[in-house]
Amino acid sequence: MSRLVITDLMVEHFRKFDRPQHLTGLGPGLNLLAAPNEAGKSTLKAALDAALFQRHRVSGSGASQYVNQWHEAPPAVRVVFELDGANFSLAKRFYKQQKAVLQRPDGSSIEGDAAERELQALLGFQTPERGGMRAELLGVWGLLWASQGDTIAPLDVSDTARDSLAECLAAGGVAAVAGGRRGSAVPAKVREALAAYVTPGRGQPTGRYKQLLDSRADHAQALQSAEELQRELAEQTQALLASRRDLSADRRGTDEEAESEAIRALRARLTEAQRLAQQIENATLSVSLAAQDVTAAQDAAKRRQETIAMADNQAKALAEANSQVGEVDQTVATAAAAQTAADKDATAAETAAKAARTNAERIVRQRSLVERQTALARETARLRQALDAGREAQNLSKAAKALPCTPEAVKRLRSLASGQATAAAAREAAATAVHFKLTLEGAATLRLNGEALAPDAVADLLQPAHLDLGALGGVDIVPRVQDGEALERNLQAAEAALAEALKTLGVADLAEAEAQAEQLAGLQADAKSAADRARTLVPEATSVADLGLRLQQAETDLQEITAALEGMDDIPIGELAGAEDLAKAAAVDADAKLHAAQERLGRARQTLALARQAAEHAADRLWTVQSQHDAATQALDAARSVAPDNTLTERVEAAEAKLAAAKTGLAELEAKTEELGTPDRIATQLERAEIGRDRRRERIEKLSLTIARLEEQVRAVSAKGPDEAVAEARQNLERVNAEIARIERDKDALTLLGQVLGEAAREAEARYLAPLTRHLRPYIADLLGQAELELTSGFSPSGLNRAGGQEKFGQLSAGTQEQLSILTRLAFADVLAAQGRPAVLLLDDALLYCDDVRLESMFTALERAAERFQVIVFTCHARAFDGLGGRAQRRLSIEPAEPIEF
Amino acid sequence: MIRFLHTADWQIGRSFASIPGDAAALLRRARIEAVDRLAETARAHGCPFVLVAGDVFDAEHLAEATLRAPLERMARAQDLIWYLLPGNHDPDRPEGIWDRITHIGPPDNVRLLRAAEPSPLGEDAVLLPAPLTARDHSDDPSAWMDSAATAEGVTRIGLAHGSIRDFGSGETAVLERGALAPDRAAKAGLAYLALGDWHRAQRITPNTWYAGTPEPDRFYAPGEPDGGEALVVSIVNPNAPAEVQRVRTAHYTWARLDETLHDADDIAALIAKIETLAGDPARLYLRLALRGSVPLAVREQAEDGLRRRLEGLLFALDLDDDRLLPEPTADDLDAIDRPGGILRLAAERLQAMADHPNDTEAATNARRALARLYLEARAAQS
Repeated sequence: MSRLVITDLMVEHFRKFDRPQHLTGLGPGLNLLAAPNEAGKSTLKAALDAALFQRHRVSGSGASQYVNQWHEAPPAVRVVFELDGANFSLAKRFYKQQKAVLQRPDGSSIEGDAAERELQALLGFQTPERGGMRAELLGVWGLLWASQGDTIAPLDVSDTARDSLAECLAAGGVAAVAGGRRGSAVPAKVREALAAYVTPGRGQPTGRYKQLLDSRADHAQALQSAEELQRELAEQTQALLASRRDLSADRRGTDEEAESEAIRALRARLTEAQRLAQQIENATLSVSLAAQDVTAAQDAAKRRQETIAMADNQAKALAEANSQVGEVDQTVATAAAAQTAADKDATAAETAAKAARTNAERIVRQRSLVERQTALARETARLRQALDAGREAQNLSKAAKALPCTPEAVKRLRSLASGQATAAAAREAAATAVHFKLTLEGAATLRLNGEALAPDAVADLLQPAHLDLGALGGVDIVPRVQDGEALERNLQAAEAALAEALKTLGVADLAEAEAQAEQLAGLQADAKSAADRARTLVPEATSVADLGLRLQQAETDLQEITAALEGMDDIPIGELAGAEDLAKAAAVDADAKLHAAQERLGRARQTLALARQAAEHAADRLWTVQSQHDAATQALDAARSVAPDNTLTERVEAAEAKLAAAKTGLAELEAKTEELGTPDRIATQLERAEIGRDRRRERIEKLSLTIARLEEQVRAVSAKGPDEAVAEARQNLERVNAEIARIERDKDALTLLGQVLGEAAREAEARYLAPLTRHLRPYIADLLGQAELELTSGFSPSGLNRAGGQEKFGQLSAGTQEQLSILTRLAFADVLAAQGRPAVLLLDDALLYCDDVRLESMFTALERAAERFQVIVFTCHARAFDGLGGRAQRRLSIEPAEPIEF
Repeated sequence: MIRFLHTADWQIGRSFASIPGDAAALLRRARIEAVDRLAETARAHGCPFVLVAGDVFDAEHLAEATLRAPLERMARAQDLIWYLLPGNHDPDRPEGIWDRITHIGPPDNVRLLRAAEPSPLGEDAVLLPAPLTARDHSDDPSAWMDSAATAEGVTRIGLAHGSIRDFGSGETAVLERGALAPDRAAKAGLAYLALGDWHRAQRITPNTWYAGTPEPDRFYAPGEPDGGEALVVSIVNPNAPAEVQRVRTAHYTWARLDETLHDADDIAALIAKIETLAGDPARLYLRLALRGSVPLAVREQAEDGLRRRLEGLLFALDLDDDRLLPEPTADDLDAIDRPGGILRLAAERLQAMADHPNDTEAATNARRALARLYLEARAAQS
């Protein structure tokens, strides 16, 4: 078993590293380099790739890609690794001064291409001869060392990687799944052979098979056509034979002469029959005319009898009409009397009703006026009280308005008095007080500012003053107060304003003003009280004047009502309601009587109208009947004047005798016709005989033509060889069917073979992938639970079976795809490790889309795998990995190092 | 002595369309050319007359060219007189083929025997023909010969078409109802009764013969006559048996072989055997049915070697190898693939299907698929 562990990595002037750097901490198990972006992780991955898999002699962009952009020194890498416990050191320098040195565990070393070939043999990959590395050369290393972004891309297993894995799986006892060249060539050949018969997709016939199917349809059509031709020929032949038989029958047993003689005899009979028919027609006409005469005579006699009967009936009707006129006139007289009586009753009832209504209305009016009068009296009293209160309020308000000391004026006065007291107090406080205790004499002699002093005078001085001591001289008193003059002016102004205000109000002092203000308030309160009382009594009044007007109106109305009541019955107020009820009841009763009388009057009028109408009808009928009677009598008289009643009877008898004679003549002629036959019957016989002869002649002619035509047709159709065509078409069908059957047998065999090959391929594939699946299954279980990853025979994930269904790999989330892709790489490494092949898994910036739970699972998988082979993870998500704890982790770091020695 | 050529059942117009390729056209042509060969045979044996005992044509309504072809050939043989009898394939019905020939006018040296009445055959003999007027008939059409009046001393020669009554089974069975009496020659005092209908020459009595068809059209086992003959009949004494000589007239030989194969040696032996079946294998039309259970390798040889060899060698081959069952050996399976390989797995599955006892159709299909797998695997290997 070959166990590979990378233990050290140094770079110098390699891409972003312009100084020697050293990846420290590498060793067996899980190695984790967590460093921020641009720390150089991908550069270290590239350095490992370059050292192990790139030719040191690579030129052009293959080499220049490693050069540091600021420092054109040749890039160099050293990798120290342990293989099966033995230490190797590989150093390579690219671009300029190219060099490769492999130091072996025994201390020896080899250089150049030999070193690379030995490394290739140790690790199992191909060295690129020209150009850069390619995935197909790296073999399975290309899968195990995933660069940034590789893990999120679809897992692309190169042919060489697939071969390496297949070799490992084969070494594990599993036969090659592809079955070698034949394994793919034979199914392809089978598909190709089947495709010659049916299309691969829809299985539609194609090629020769389709041609044969089409050909079968054509032959079937040809057979149908030929059989149709055969039938046509048979029918034509039958028709020809039948025509010949008919012709023979028509020609056989026909006597043309007898047939012509019979036709001539029929024609002679027809002439005789037609003559008799004419005679019968004439006799029939005579009978008809005689019958008409009989009918006319009988009709005349009948009409005479009817005229007589009608005249009698008219006489009876006239008598009845006269009687009816008399009866109806009596009825009209009775009805007219009844209407007059009813009219009188109705007039009386109407008068009574009108009187009752007038009385009731009068009492109602009286009662209304009395009620109005009472109400107006109460209204007048209320208005008068309100008017008095309103006028009192007006007077009190007027008295109040005469007093000037309103509360505002008093308030201002108080303010001015207060200002004056304040000014006086300020002056007094600032003034220099000079208290004199003088004798009267002294007082007489002493003068302050020229004025004599009282013996106990006190002088408050704000201004310099001169005390004339008389002979003694004088004393100048100078108070130290400032603005004494201003204080003095303030006091004077305050006093002047107060005095002006008192004068305006007409009072002597503030006390008088306040007493007057109190009196004013009392007046205003009384005025308000009176006004409130007036508004309470008549709230709808808008002013005192309005109250006056209302009172005036009420008094006028009261006077008018009182005047109206003066002419009325003197009914006490308390009895008015009862009187009104009685009057109304009397009016209703009178109305009812009036209505009844009017109805009786209406009925009497209607009866009279009907009676008059009946009288008119009776008169009309009498007139009509009279007219009809007159006309009938005149008509009968006129008829009798032309032909008396007995003449008519004689005419009837004569006409009947003539008719009998005509009928006898006709019967004799008809008897002759019966014997000879009617012209129609003879004409029909003649026509039938002639048509029969003509038709036979025509039929013979037609049959001859038909036979000629049919003979021609039969020969023409027969010459087409329908029997031959039918036989040929049948045999063609037989041949085509045989070939189709052969192709279908072949097709069925190929179809079965294709199916069986497919099943065998799937079985072999499942068996072949089993070790890989076995390694993969625990990883998948840790990540997703009960699930199975489907792999193609080329080892690429194709689908995920879970929860009873299969999801296509490409339709899984990006994160799940990446995780499954990494787990598949782990399984690859497991397969290699199990076969003792060197394997190191390196992931650069992977697991970008893991949530916390998945990251934990993936980390567990990496840890588990690291027990069997070295796992190196470069990541910029240090914190995420920190959260997973330090289980079996080797934390790597990038440190400055010494230059690489070659 | 009266000498004539007895032939029958030309069945001109038979299409052979069920035979694939050009063979059908060649067979049709061979039947026309048979008329020439019959003429040559007649001349070669000094026969001035040719009696055709029915079924000159294969059907009643043939194409104009088909109808005329044999007439033209007979017309060219001016030195011979051809007597043509309507048979069950070409009965004389109104507006039928004989009406057509009459309408277009037969060659001068061709006699149409359309009536059951004596017809002179040279100066010393009379023909008593029994033409058929329908495909099927219930009476013996030759019965009238018994009472046919002919001049004293002339040789009576009967000509009829149909099966012999009470003469075993097989071909006669279907035509029992209107069959001919086998002793008609004796009953009617015939020196010779020339019969048609059976396609192989057959002696019924010393003076009653079927001539058979001059060009074979059915398969028979090797050793059995396949038809393809005409009879040269010589009557020296009308009361004595006629002298009858069978003359080969066929261009093609038809043969049928049923062979069981076991190994590759059998195939080689079979080819050798076939080469001896006809003087010229290029004129042999062989129906070959193969049976047996053979290894896939032998099956491949039968398909690849035998079939292709015979197709090149023979005029036509009708090979039926459905019953030649592939029986894979261990070597066969190894030749397909090594154990565990896809092809090997597939072969083993097919072998299991082929051994299925209840579904013969599926088993047959599986055998074919297996044989095909072997072929393809071998082809891919090479």
